[in-house]
Amino acid sequence: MTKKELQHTEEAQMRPTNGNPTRYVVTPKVDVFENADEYLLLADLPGVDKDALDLSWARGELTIEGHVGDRYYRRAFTMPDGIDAANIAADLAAGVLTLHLPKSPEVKPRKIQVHAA
Amino acid sequence: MLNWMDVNRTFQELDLFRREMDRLFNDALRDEVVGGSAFSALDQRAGARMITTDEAFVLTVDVPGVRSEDIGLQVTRDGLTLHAARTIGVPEGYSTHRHERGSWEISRSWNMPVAIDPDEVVAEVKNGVLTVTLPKAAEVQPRRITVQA
Repeated sequence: MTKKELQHTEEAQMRPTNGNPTRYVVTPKVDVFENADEYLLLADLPGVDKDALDLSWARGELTIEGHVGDRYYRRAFTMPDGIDAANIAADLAAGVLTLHLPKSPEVKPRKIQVHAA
Repeated sequence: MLNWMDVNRTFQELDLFRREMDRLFNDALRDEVVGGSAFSALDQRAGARMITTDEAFVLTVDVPGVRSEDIGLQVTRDGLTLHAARTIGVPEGYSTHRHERGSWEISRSWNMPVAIDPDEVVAEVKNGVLTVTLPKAAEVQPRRITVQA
């Protein structure tokens, strides 16, 4: 998934947005982890209040947007297939966003019972 | 009298100066990094900033994920020293796709251009941003002078 990240977000780091020279686009630093049940994404969004955070999911693309003062955080990821989008859970604490992206049951590893003959 | 060329050149020089100051500022901040490749928040333009008003200096520093007990502040009449740290590892049982949020530790001192009142300094952390308000000492605050008729 890491290679699939949208290219333009990399270029957006710390430059004035068009037409608004006092606003800066910041690409937040993220960690992405995975286990059998979920993807776990953590992002540093210092200063962003819960009300100023916008998370969206559309056709496998996850977008994180938030703003504080003259800073505008944005980052988008194309996620692998098999995310149970209805059960994505998010928490924002101490300027850190924690996103749990559970895998759909059909993509989770399954234990296969071996029956004795 | 300035012609257009001169004006343009002046602006270019101002811009170069500004960029150079940004670079020096960022380098100075980077020099304070203890261990690890990045105190990423401070590398960013808006990571640490100081606002000056008539009454006080207001310092804001990004400290996402730092617990308040891991922030240490020492204040004198001349300035302040900040120490902050966070430790970030891979959660147990997970594999890593991307790991940009590093552990870091910062120790930094700022000297104030005028005396502050250390007893009146207030610090708070909200949404991962530390705000320290350092009131100027009473004797250096601007005073309104009444003009006698």
